[in-house]
Amino acid sequence: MNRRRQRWRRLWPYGFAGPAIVAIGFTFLYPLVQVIRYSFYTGSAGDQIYVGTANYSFVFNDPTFRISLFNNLKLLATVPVMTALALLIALMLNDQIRGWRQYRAIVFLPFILPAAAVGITFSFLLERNGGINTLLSDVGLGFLAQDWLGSPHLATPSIGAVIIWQQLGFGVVVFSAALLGLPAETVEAAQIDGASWWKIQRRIVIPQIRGIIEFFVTLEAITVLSQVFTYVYVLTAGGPADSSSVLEYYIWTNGFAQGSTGIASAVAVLMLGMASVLIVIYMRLHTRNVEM
Amino acid sequence: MSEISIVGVRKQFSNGSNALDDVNLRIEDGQFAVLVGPSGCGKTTLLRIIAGLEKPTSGVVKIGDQDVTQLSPGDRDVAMVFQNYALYPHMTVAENIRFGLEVRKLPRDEITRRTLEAAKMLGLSDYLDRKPKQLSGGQRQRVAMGRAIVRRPLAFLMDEPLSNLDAQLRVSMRAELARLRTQMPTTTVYVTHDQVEAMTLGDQVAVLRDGVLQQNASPEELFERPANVFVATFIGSPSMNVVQATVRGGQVRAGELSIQLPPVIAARVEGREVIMGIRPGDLLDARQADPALPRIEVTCDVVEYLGTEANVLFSLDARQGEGGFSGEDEDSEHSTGRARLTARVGRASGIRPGDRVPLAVDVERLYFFDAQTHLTIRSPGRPALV
Ligand SMILES: Nc1ncnc2c1ncn2[C@@H]1O[C@H](COP(=O)(O)OP(=O)(O)OP(=O)(O)O)[C@@H](O)[C@H]1O
Ligand SMILES: [Mg+2]
Repeated sequence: MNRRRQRWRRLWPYGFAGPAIVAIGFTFLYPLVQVIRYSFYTGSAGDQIYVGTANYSFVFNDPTFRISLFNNLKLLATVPVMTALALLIALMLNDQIRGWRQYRAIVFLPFILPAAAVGITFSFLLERNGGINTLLSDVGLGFLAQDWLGSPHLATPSIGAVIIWQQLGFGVVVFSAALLGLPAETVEAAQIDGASWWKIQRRIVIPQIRGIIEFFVTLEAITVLSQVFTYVYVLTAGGPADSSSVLEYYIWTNGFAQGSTGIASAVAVLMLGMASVLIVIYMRLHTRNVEM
Repeated sequence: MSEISIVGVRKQFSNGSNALDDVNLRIEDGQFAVLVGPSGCGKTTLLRIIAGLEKPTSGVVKIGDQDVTQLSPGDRDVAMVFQNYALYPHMTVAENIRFGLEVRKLPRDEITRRTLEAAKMLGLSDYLDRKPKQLSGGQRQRVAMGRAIVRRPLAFLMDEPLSNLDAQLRVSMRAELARLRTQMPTTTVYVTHDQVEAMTLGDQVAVLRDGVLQQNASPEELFERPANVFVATFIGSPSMNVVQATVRGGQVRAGELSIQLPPVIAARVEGREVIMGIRPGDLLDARQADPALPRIEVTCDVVEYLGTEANVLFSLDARQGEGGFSGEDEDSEHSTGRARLTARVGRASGIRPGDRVPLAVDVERLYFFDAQTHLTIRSPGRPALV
C-alpha cells in the first residue's frame, strides 16, 4: 500500500508534464522523424518508394546543390563582418550613454522590418537603374555602378550586404545590453592604469562580454545557413541561372516547385546536421568559459 | 616631489546637485591624507576629481608642480583603489597586477620582477594564477592594493578600500596598510567613513560636510581643537555632547543645568549665547572624581556596556546644540525638546537604567562654540579661536 503510494508520488509529476511532452513530440519530434524518413524515399505522399541513400547521392552530384552550399558558406563571411561592425557601434554608443536609446531605436529598426519588405526595398535600390547606381553616378562615381543583382559574381555578395544591414541592429542591441551590465569601475581602473580607448575595449571590455559575442556569432551563423530564403527569393530568385541559390532555396525549388520531397528532405537533414555542429561548437566554448 | 594641491575646486553635477563647494586642500609630499565626512558629503567626488575621472566645474588640481586639471586619468600617474576593488574579472591575479605596467610598456622582465615583488609584499604569491572570483574578500582587496603599488605612482587614491571587509579583517588590513606605508612613503589620499581608520592612518585628516571643507588638521588637532560644532561632534566616539547655553556671571546655563566656570574660561564667553560641548569621557562618575569639580545629577535612560567601559545615555531639559553631526536621528531630538547626552564611565560603576547618577563635569575640558556661526570660541588647551 505504502509502496504503491510512493510509486504514485514519483509518477505524479510526469502526469503534469505529459501534455507538454506530447505537444512537443508532435510539433518538433514528429516532423523531424518524418523529414529523416522522407529523405530515404522518393515520390510524393501516398505513393512512396524506398530508395536508400539515392537522394543523398543525387544532391551531392547536382551542381546546383554545390553552388547553393557554397553560397551559404560565402554568406557565413557576413557573420564576422556584422559582428565586428555591431560591436564597434555598440562600444561607441556605450561611451555616449546619454540619449543612446534614440540611437538604439534607429539601429534596431531594420531588424524589426519584415525580411520580405527589406528584400523588396533593396531589390529596387540594387536594380541596374536603381537608387544605388543613380546615387553613384550623381556623385560622379558612375564607374562603380554595377548590375548588383544581375551579375553572377555580385548577386550573393549583394544578398550578404542586405543581410548585414538587417542583422546589424540586432547585434548592436544585444551587445549594448551586455555592455550596460558591466560595472563602470573596471573601465575607470583601466583608464587610471593609462590604457588607451582602444586598449580598454580590447583588453577589458570585450573579454567581459565574450560569452554574448560567441552566442551572437552562433546564432547568426545558423541564421545565414538556414534563414535567408526570403532575401534570396525576393532579391534574385536564386539567379542569374542558380548562381545565387542557397540550400533553402534549393529545398524550395526541389520540394515545392518540382515536388521531389525526398531530395528536399535530404538537404534539410544535411542542414540540420550543420546547425547541430555549430551548436555543439558553441556549447563547448560556453562550458569552457563557465569553467574559467 | 608629488604634493597634491586642490585649489578652489567646485563640482556641480548636470542634475544641479552641488557636490563640492570651493574646496582648498594641500597634501604634502609623502603625506597620508584622510578624507572623512558623512555619506554624500562629496568625498568620492573629490577623489575622482583628483584621479581625473571627473572634471571640476571650476578650480585647479595640481600634482607636484604640474596643473593636471585638464589631463586624462592615465596621464596623471596616480593609482586608485576602488571601494569594490574593480578587479578585471577575466584576468588572473598576476595579469591584474601587471596590466598597468604592460600598458605603460615597461620591459617584460621588469614587469615580472615588480609583479612578483608586489605579490610577495602582499602575501599573494600563492594566488597569482587565480581569477578574482576565486579569492576571498580580503585577498581581492590585496590584489587591488597590489595593482596600485606595482605602478609606483606619484600618489595613491583610495576610496573606502576596507569598507567591504568584515570587522576583524578590517583591523588586520588597517595594520597592513600602516606597515605598507612605512615601506612606501607615497602621497596618499584615503577616503573613509571610519573614524578609527581616519585617526590611526592619517597624517592629516580633512573633514567634509555637504561639499564644504570644515577642517584639515592632524588627528590630535582635530580631536582636541575642532574648528566648529560639526567637526567636534563628528570626530570622537561616542560623539561630543552639545547643548545650547548662555553664560551669565561666570555661570553657564543650559536649561535646568547650571555650572560655575573657572574665571579664565568664563572670561572668553561671558555674556554670550553659546553651544557648550563636552566629550562623554569628560563627564566623570562623581563617586570617583575630584570633589572640587562641579556636579550634575541625571537619570540614566540606557546603559551601553562595552566591556572595559560603559556608555550612560541620559537626557537633559535643555536644547540640543545646533550644527552638530547628528547621524540619522536629527528630527527625534527636536521633537522631544530635550538634549540627549552620553557619559562614558568605568564598567564597575554598576549603573542601571532609571538610576539617579551623579556626574562630575571636567570644566577644564569644556568646549564653547558661537551659537550663530557654530565656530569654536574656546577649546581646552587653546584659550581663544574666535
Ligand atoms: N554622477 C553624479 N550625478 C549627480 N550627482 C552626483 C553624482 N555623483 C555624486 N553625486 C552627488 O554628489 C554628492 C556627493 O557624492 P559622493 O559620492 O562624492 O559622496 P560620498 O561622500 O563619497 O558619500 P559616501 O560616503 O556615501 O560614499 C551626493 O549628494 C551625490 O548624490
Ligand atoms: Mg563615496
